[in-house]
Amino acid sequence: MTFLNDITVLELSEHISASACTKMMVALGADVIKIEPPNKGERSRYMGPFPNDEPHPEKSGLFLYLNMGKKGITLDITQKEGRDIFLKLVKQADIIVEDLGHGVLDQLDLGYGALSRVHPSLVFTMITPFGENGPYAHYQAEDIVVEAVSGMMLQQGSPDREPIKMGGHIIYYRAGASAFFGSLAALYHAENMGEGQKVEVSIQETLLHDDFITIEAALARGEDIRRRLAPMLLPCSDGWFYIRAFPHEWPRLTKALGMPELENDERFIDMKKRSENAEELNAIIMSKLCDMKKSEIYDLMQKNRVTTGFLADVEDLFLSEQYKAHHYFLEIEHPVAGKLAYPGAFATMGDIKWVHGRAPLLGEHNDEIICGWLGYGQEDMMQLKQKGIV
Amino acid sequence: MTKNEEQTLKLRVLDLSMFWAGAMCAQLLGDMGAEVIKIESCQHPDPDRIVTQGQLYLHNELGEEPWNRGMLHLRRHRNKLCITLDLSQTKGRDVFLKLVKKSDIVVENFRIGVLEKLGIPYNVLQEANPKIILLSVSSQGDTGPERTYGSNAEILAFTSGLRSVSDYEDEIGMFTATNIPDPLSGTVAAGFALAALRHRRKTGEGSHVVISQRELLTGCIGDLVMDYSMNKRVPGPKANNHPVYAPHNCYPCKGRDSWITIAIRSDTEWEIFCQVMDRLDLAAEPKYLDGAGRLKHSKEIDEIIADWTRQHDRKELMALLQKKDIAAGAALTAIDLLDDPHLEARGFWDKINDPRPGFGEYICKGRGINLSKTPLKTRLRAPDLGEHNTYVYGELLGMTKDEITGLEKDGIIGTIPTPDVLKRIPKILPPKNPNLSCRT
Repeated sequence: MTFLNDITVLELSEHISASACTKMMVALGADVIKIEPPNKGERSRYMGPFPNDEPHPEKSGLFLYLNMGKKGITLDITQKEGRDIFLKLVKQADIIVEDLGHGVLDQLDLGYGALSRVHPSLVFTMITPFGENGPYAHYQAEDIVVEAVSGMMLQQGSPDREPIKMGGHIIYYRAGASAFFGSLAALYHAENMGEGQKVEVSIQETLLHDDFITIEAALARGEDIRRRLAPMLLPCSDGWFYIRAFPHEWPRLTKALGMPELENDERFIDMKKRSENAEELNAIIMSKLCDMKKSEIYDLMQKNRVTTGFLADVEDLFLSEQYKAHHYFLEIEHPVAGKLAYPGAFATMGDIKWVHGRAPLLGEHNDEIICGWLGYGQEDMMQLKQKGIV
Repeated sequence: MTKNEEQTLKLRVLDLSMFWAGAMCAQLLGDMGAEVIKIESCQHPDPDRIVTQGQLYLHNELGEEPWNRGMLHLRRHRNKLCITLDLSQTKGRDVFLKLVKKSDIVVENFRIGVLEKLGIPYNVLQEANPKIILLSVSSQGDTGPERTYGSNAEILAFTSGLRSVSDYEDEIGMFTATNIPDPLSGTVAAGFALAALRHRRKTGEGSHVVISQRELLTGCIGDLVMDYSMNKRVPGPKANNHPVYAPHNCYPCKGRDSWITIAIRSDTEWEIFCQVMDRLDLAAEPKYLDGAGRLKHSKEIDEIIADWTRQHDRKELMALLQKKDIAAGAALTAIDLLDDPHLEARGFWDKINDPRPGFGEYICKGRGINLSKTPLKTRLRAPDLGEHNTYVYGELLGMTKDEITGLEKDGIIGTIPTPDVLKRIPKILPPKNPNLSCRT
């Protein structure tokens, strides 16, 4: 038994976010069918990382990770027969999630309007950089572009240098999370009222929503907040650590440092003083901690309930005792890519299991879905293949 | 709008969370139409009411009850009712369990161990209501040697690995000012809550969902983690560089701290871009003809582009390049965004009209999730501290006036923070910018 075990989801993805969204649905037990263009497959198959940096459509780390546990078919939905098959699949689905880009499905007359006519209770979720209407709707975008236009980028980086984007593809995962919630909210309504709807996620708006206080500061005081000085990252024997002592944590920090006399030291008596005398304070902290390892400092401070972090790189995550205790990294076998460790479950649900699996090969489930589910015969399949539809 | 008249779902959510992650989860459920009851106490009101970072109070005024004017509070707790309840007192705990009996979902983001300390862990909630769903938006999960470790968004960016890949290539400089970890976790948690509800509808069973925010965030750089799995390579920061596309960077424009981002993704786009720059010589340059060549020479190309962009206004340049289907985006400021024609046309801003004296009209950010038939909209402005004590204790739990007065006398409920909390409210606020250019 899983949370979503009798839900069928179709996914059309070229820009990561739809794949990231349905990835969580797989984990909760939904059947997710990924529909890729024939022969080539989707874009993320061509984005790395690759083993030994040798590109191969079945070995992309991005693709393998995003599509764990999904079924994969190929279908040319721009041709009539492909379109017919797609519409038959839509009738059997509860949710469709797409990020093909502004207007792509509408141009094929496969947008929400067309699909809701064949399946009125369908949940149709679309993720686009700027939403489906408004002056920027048709704008071309990569993550660096959306981060800039959402206001996020001016907050990132050093004040005296160019702003920088977040690493990896995090904004697409973030938008995928909004689509995940939005889809399930619409499913809730569809299952209760029998009425489907369109869920539209704008990545720009999602990122602007997530902004911390710059909009409020502009509204309240006309303040123009930009990227600020780097936080107090301090070096230790094998890397960097960071202490964010909230006011109520100050006494605990002095205790953890073994210097309780600092608690009432005039130089550091409140947040304002500690910030004014930050250099002096850093020197004291460094004198106590600089010979320790980052993980030792993290443990020492956290055990004394001082909010502390360390600059963890990916290798540190593999070494983390916490991640090990959770079996966070999973070894999964893939027929082409082989056995690899993947990031796994980030949540527990009591007795309910998190569903894991491997990514599908290109067109791996064509027979199972198109013949098995939709009732096409082997001869039909041959013809479809010859016409380049599957 | 003080009563929950427009509540559309038969669903009640108790929100025990402080700060943002849990609050976001509960707010999304409230946005859908659930009745969300935010539980605070006079001893420990949500810090967003009082110590809002940057001391941001509505209209930059403290008013008579500053704790009801914190701008993060006004934004994060739309569509919620608020009661006060001191859970550290036995009586408070007993009242809470009565509420659990009448509720569907409890959301919390305490440090692991706090629910136990308060005597309300999941099994106790289950005894009160076997169908209850508990969402724990935790820092590290509820098992493992580091389960009691705390964090905020900044710390999570460090410990999840995100920060190790988000920086300049040549110095440790970046401050992750954005708070993606909190709203990300809250949004995911709200999705899990709906999934758990669906499960309950089918099986009659409640459940306890525990999210590890740190692991969730690591999952969002999962593709980079795969590089380590495949090649034993530890991915580092790449600033604005793309693994395949070039040019792909942030370029200076006319004016102080003024920037545009540009991403060229194909040979055709490169040719068009060179035409726009009026540099046909570059389009013809053999070493820049294909992606691999441009990637190899990206530094020199970036300098050429910067020389051109410096002569232009960032917003005009964005419009010009986008007209040619080139991916380009001006780095917008908060003030730009508040006046942005696109967001205005989209109806992004949530315009609230609050009849309370001294509140009036104000703007909150929208959600970026648009449901066509059951839109997420603001039915209720954020509540005053303890505003719904009478409704919840009187109407919902059927307590008598005397019983409610008794709780007030015992300091278990109330509407004014305790004196030590009041002391933390600033006496005066920093001044407003007289050249305020955005609408308020």
